[in-house]
Amino acid sequence: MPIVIENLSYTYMKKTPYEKKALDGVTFTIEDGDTFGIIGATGSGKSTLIQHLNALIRVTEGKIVVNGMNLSEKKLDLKRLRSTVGMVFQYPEYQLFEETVEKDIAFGLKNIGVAEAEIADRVREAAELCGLDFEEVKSRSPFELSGGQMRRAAIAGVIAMRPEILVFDEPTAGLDPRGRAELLSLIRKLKDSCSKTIIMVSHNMDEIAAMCNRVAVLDEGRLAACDAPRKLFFDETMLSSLGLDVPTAVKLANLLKKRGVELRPAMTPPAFAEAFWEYYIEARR
Amino acid sequence: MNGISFGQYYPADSPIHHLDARIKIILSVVFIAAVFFVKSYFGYLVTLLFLASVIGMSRVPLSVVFKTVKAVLFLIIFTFVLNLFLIDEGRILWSLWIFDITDQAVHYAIMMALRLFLLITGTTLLTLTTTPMDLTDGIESLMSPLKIIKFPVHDVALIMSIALRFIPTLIEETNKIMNAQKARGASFDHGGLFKRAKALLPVLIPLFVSSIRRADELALAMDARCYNASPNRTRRKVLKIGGRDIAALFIAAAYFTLILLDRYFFLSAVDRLFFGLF
Repeated sequence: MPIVIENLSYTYMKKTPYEKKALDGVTFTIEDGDTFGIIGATGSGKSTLIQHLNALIRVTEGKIVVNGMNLSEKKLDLKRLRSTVGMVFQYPEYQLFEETVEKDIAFGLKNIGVAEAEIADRVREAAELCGLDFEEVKSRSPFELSGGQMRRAAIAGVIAMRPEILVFDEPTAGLDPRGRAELLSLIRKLKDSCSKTIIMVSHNMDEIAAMCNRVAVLDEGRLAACDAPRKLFFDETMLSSLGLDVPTAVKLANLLKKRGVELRPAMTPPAFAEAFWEYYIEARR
Repeated sequence: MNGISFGQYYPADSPIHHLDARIKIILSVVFIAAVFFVKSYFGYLVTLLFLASVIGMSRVPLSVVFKTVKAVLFLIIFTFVLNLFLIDEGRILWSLWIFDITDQAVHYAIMMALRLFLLITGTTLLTLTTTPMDLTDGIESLMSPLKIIKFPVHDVALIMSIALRFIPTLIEETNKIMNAQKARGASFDHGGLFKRAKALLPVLIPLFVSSIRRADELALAMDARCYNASPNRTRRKVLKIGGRDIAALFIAAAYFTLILLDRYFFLSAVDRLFFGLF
């Protein structure tokens, strides 16, 4: 079932001089099977929005329904909701705390009351899905792992709960180019194997363009646009007015356009190469 | 987390906010001393009026001031009840089983509760109207005579300002980690005391790890900019005593004199005049 967000508003520190409206009448729907991108400049309300999705912030104005659960309800089954919506925060490795990697991955499962016998299997499965050599790392301290491994272990801790919806906040922050590529392919793998709906927040338009089928653009708490990336990412004027970039491929195409080279629209490097090749062949004729 | 932020600086444009931090610290100390000298209802009335007018001038809403009092309300009630039952001198007004309530006890209990209330409200006002940075600058300046005995005043002030500076950061970090663990199904508001304390481990351990990392990074950053606590450092913001500060000192002195007069000269005569029933 989809995630329906209707007229959602949220104000921080109400009735104090620090009062700040973080979300203002946001309405959109995330369908099952979407890889949904949320973009916006810093302070546009992305984090506030995603924290609403698993009731870390309770709905105060407006309405959210996730998988049929109405998040405005007082007696919300938080455990069920939080195992339905998995949340991978920015720098998830900072949430590791247990003595061993195995225990850390099992933390969420214990909290939601999964049977002891089942925990071991699910922990192994999650760790291996996230590309960890489980036998090698399971009894090591999470603080001994390398940066990339730590992030994978932290993600495994969320995956172990088998969430149908998986939310990533800046999943590639602080990673080197290879780490980024590996993480993005991990997200693709997770979408195919355990979580059918992926929501990702990112500042990197190349990642969003390569991953997402739909994108919501936030601007100062309001929904500026919600559409397929190909409808949004070619509009450099609109994006830059919202403090955002266009994907590198589009930037290159726009530079070429100024030189009189008009390519078929392309958002990702492979598509750009394809379009350029077509142009080249055409021009040689 | 809102409980932690009580007494947090409340921005407003008021004469109290604009007072020199040193003057405010001195006045707070004077106020605390004065409250301990008060022994009569008249004195408490004067102190209450004084405090009320300062709060009024500071433009900090009463609700914000009383948030702090609410946090220690239990302590005030506890002291009140304890005093009420434990003091045996005086005329017995009411007695229940082994407990006697005497007129002296009633007086004493009311006065102690008032004293606590005034002390807490008065000192909160200092932190509500002074930014942490001004506060440490003020303390550093007030402690500077200690430099004569080679006391590292500047270093202490630096440690204080770093600690204060990182309180909001730590709160934010705590919130983040709590959210991350909550997202993994942890709950922090269920179960008994022991269970709750144990539930905090998944927050405290990452918090310590990141604090140590942060401290390390800060030290490196300071080193990289050749920071040293030399005595010749100049300040961007120089503290200056102005006419307003002198006026505040005089008003406070007048208040303090009145309290001393009431204590040693009137000998609670005003109380007997107005509250003949006691």
